[in-house]
Amino acid sequence: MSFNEETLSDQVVNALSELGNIGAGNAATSLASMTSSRLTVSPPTVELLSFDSLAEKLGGAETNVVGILSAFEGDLSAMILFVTDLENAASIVEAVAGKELDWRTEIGLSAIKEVGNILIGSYVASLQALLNKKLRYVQPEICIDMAGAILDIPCIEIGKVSDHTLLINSKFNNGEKELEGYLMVFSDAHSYDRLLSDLGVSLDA
Amino acid sequence: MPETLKVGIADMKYCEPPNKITTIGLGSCVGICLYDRYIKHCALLHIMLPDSTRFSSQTNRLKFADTGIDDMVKLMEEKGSRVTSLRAKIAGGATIFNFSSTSGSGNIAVQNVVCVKAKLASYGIKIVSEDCGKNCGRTIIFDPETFELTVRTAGQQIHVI
Repeated sequence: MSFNEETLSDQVVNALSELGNIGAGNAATSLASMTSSRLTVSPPTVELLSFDSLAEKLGGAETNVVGILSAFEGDLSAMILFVTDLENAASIVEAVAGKELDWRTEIGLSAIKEVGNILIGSYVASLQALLNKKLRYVQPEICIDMAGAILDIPCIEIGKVSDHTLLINSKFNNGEKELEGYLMVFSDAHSYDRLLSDLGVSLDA
Repeated sequence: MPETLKVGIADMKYCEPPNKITTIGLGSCVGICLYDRYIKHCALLHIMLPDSTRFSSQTNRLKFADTGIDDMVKLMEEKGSRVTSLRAKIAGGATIFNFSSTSGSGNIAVQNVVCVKAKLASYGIKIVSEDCGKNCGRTIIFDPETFELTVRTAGQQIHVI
């Protein structure tokens, strides 16, 4: 799979979106039991983006955001970053807590980290089930900093082999409004290749 | 109207007064400003990775400290500088996530800074000031008129080095 191409074939986008859908479905189930159905997840959209446009998606490289980073290894390897702006983070925490809660407190941070953890865990679980492969994933780390700085580590990881990454845009609904967060999957071309061929998608199509 | 030129990730630009030059949101990446102590001009480079020789696919030389600095020195020479009069100011190389995965990019920030310093030393270019390490993202702005490097962190503290 050539990663210097700006576009993916429809078939590949469909396969990846489907993967995202199943992951989001799993996430919704987990989140619902955690929040007593206060937070639902809509089907995500999938895009392939260059590093500079990733930061733009988050409002520019200097925008302060909340990032939760994890990685999985095994038959496939990738880094996964869940990232959302401060306003959305506050709303997500309130939805999870079921009351007004300052997300900058230890409890608030722990709540947002848990949401990130569930989302990431759900995607990894869908991947495992779909591909029948064993994947380990590491405990996520949380960080609040400039978008550019947060994107550095996963971009560096993928930057060794590619200049693009897969962006899965996850939308949540807390009953009143749509909350937005991004789930970014940073993987090498080799892993994507295997992933897609396991999904039965031909890259040359 | 003076403008502020923006340098992206794995990118480099050249700048002369009255313009300034900036790169935004440095995490574990390192920003390297190269200027001339006699001629008022500069270049700014934003590298992601330490050493190009460890990777097989090198589509962008500016991604790496070693090849990026080579290109930057060459550019400054083309613009009329002598290597002996070049000076550097560097910032970045922060550890944003305390992430220890077996794929091991945990200390990439440290490696980036080490590699930048070694490469500059190989040209005999002196690092006049630096703001590296710690755990905060940085935005840097260099003024080729005054040689001042302004560093802004997420907490909005601003200092000049």
